[in-house]
Amino acid sequence: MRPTLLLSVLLAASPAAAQHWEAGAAAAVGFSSGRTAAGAAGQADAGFARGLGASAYFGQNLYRYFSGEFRYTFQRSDLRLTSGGAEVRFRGLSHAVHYDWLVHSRPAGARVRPFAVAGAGVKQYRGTGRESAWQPLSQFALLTRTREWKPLLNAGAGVKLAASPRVTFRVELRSYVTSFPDKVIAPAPGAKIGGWLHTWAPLAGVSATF
Amino acid sequence: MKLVSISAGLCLWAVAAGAGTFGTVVPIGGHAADLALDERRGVVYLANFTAQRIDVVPVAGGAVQSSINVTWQPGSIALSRDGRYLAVTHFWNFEPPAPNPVTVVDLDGNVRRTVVLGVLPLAVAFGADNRALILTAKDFRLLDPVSGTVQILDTIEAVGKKLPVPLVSFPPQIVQATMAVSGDGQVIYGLAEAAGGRVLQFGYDVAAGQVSARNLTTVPPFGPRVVSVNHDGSAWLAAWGLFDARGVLMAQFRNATGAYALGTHAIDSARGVVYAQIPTQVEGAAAAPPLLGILDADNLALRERIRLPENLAGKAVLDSKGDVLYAVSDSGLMILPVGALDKQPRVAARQEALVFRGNFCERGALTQELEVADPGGGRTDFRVSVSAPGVTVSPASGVTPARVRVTVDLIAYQNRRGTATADIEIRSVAAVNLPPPVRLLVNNREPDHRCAFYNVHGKLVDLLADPARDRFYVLRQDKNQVLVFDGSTFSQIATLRTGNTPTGMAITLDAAYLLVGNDDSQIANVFDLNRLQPTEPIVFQPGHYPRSIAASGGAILAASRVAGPAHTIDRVNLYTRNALPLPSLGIYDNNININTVLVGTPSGSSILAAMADGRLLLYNASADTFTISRKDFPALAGPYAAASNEQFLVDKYLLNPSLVPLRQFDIDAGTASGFAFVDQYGVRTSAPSAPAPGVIERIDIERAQSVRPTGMSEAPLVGETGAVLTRTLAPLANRRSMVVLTTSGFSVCPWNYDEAGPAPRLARVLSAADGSGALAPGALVRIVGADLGAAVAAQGLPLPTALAESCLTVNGRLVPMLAVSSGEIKAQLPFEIAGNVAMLLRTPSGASNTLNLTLPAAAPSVFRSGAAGPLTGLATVIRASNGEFVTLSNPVHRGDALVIYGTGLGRTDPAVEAGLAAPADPLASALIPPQVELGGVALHVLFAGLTPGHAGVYQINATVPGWAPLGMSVPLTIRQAGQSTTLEVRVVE
Repeated sequence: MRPTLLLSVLLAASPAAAQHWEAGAAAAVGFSSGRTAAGAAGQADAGFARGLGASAYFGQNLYRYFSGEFRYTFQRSDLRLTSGGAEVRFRGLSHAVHYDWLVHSRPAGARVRPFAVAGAGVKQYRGTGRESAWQPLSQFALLTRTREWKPLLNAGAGVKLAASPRVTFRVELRSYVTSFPDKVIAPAPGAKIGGWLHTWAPLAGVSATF
Repeated sequence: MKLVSISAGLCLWAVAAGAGTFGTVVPIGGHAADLALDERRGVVYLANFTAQRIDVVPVAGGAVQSSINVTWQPGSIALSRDGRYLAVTHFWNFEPPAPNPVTVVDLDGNVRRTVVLGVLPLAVAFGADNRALILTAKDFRLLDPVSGTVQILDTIEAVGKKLPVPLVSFPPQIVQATMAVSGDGQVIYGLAEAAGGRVLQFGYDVAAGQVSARNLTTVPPFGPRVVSVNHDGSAWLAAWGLFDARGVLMAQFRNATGAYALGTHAIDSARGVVYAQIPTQVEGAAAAPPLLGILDADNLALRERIRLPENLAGKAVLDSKGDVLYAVSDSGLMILPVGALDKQPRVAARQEALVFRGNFCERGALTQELEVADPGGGRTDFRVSVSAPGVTVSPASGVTPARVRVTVDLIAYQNRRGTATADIEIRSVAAVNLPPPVRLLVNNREPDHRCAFYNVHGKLVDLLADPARDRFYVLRQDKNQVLVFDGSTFSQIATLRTGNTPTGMAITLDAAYLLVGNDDSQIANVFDLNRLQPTEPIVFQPGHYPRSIAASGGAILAASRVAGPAHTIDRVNLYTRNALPLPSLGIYDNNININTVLVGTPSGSSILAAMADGRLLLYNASADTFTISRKDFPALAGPYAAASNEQFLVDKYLLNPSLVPLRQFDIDAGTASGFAFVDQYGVRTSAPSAPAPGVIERIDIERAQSVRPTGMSEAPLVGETGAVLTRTLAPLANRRSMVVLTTSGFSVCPWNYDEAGPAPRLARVLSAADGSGALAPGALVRIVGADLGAAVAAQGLPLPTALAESCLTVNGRLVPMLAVSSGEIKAQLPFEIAGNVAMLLRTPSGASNTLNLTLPAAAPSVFRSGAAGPLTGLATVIRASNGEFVTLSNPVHRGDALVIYGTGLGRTDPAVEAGLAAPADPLASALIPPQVELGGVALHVLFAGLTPGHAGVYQINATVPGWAPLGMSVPLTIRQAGQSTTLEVRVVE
């Protein structure tokens, strides 16, 4: 019942929308691949736990099969270290802002429009947990209450489903890639954490077109 | 010129002004010569000598109720046992001549009879047979009051003063005769003046009807001219002497003036006490107010002193219950309800002494409570005062019962060593007694001073170890006691009562008996050491007071003070329990110095007599005579001892068996006190010798060298005028301890007292914060070394300056310590030192090497004492936002407030004494502000100074600016007074 009600409100709020523009919001779940923190004491898996997120976007149909959009994505995701059955978590979140190009397989106005997407932007990682003088597994990495910005690349694919001339449902799967946030998850002295941080995020949203 | 004060002499009684007194005075308007108590009629009869009447005073007091006028001066009166007859002897030897009568008053029939004797009657007393013994100038007579018949018993010669007499003469000085009867009426004792200034002393056995008399020569004069007898006649007091039924002087009042007309005494057999006022003269002593002494009836040891409203001046009698004492006094009669003394306001302290055990290394104050009470349980005012540096009492006055806090500020005793003594005086306006002062003892010892001292109150004058038992014996002179102590626990196990003023002890060769000589008794006490019980004493000749005794295999000898032309050595017969002066000392005259001590060799082969005038005598047991007499020294004083190998030590001289000086054991400083031969060496104590209050040292006898002189915790006793030769050291038979008479009582030194452990060694001093060499005034430091002391930690603040008997100083200033262990001392440096300083540690094993240090005004260092989880040694930099140590996982953030804990920031304003907790209001700020930088960026310092409630801990409160550099390892630097310390921290946004 609740999604239906929300949908009704959105419809009522966009009575005069044009079809060249699209504005919407989506819910997401982020899955990150951890990286290995290696040090003299051994190694640990450092990264982010699965977390829910939300995204807002504003796009424009630029061509018959192409569109572009700005997207902001917020994700709450704990910083995580695991090693030998031990796990340490530290509350965290991220903000991502990027511009994406979408290539549709069907022209604008089609009811169903699969698409592929790729874009770039920046992502801020933040540790927000409570710091303490002693953190377990700190011999590998230090989960830190701080923030850092990283350049962001993302790519994915999805499908848009026009429920009406004004309403479109949209599901997609994206992959976000940044370099590893080594200030928020700082390698301990003598330890190294290298490489890229991949985050997979399935999103489902609804947008208004006008 | 000697300053001699005569107590109760010329009314120098200012000290008594306003004080409570005991007793009611009944003035009679004349001088009383005698009194008699008539309990049946409830009156006291007073022979008003100068008014020629018998005044009758109710026993309850008040005024003279009536008088019986007589024709001649009543010199003596007595009431018959049945209470019917009052006999009055009249003393009149001037014009017109009197018939030398005795008036007999029949109190029931109110009839008088005059019996003419024809010879001057001097004194009268009734025996149990209801007949009156009358002493006349020529004989003893027995008067039957019923028939008036007189029977002459024996002839003697007695005298009285010839009238008229000079002004200010009193009846006892005129009549000079007195008599008293025992409580059971069976014995009458009396005194009179004999020709030639001698004293006629006599006793009359009522049942046998026999008189025995003797003439005595006494010094001082034999006054007060009063006789008192106990209930069964076995003991009696005459003037200043206590005699037994045989006439043996069992005890005498010390320093009596012998004044005839001043003082009195009475024996209460039931309570075992003597009530007495005996005027004394003590050189240099202040005049005393009239005082009634309450003394032990067997040896006259003083129990208590009671203030009197005026002097007593003649006979005193107790009522049959012993509750009221009636005594002739200056005004006439004094009535003293001694049985109700507990209802009188009195004041006394529960403790005889307060002992404060300080330490050279300790500061601050020690406090003890003095309990002041009225022995009768009443509420009596009191005032406590003490005249000693650093001693305060609170409250200084109050009402009994009360607890007075006596506080000793040890700082006042920092420059003293040993035991300082003072008297705590207790006074009262209302109290009738004169409480003895409480002895205050403040000991201040250094860590390497040896021997534990035990407080034993009183004047201790001799010490002997029992050769066969694990005991030792201490002679307490002021209470006439031998105190028996266990040689292992050093607890007192028995008290033996001696004669008056005991001076010396000896143990018989079979170790069965302890013999005690007395300076104010003509006996030597004998105690069975197996049962610790007294046995029959040894009786000396009249006038012989045994002061020193020694036993050998041949004889037991006593050096006696003699009230005569020569002091003598007397030979004791232990079986007959008497002693006789030797006719000669071998070929030598028996004429010794009054200050002579005797000591026998342990084997019993000989006895040495050492005299203060330098003369020596040797009694040889085999020859049973004195074989050697020498004088190689002008005088002798100090210790004396005898060895089994026939060597002797007197003063500092070692003597061979012929008393020829062998060697001389010189003493660097101070006065020798005790000496003992122990195995192949000697042990000597001496006092005082700076810096130690006393020294105990072994003497290499062959080389005459002192071996390892060791400081004692307090000084051994030394000789005094009249007793210059001392025996204050006794190695115990158990060979575990040596006992030394010292200021507080006695000290116990371990047998191996000089086997010291290794002396402490100081290696280096580090900051207690980070282990660096950053040292500064007021800083907490670690002193690293070896053998620094037993492990112990301070219990709190203020920090002690003596811990585990270790004492640390810097430039002579005491250093408060947190903990001591063998390898390290944690301490706080004093604030008052800077620059080049010298550190020294004293422990019971001795003093350390001197460690020289250089202290800048400040040298900050940050503690590395933090811990979190398994992490230790964290720098004590705290983030104010979460109160946790800054670590990699708790990094510094821009804008953070930090608290950095460290030490070494130097002096503060206000100044805080090292070892004390820093104040919170006002905060103690560092006089030199530190600068704090993070990665080269200055932090804003909000406060730098001592952390309240801690000693030596500083904190710096600072904020991190928003532009501080970030990094995993950013230097955090504290700079102050040209010194700096740096640590690295992680900084994040």
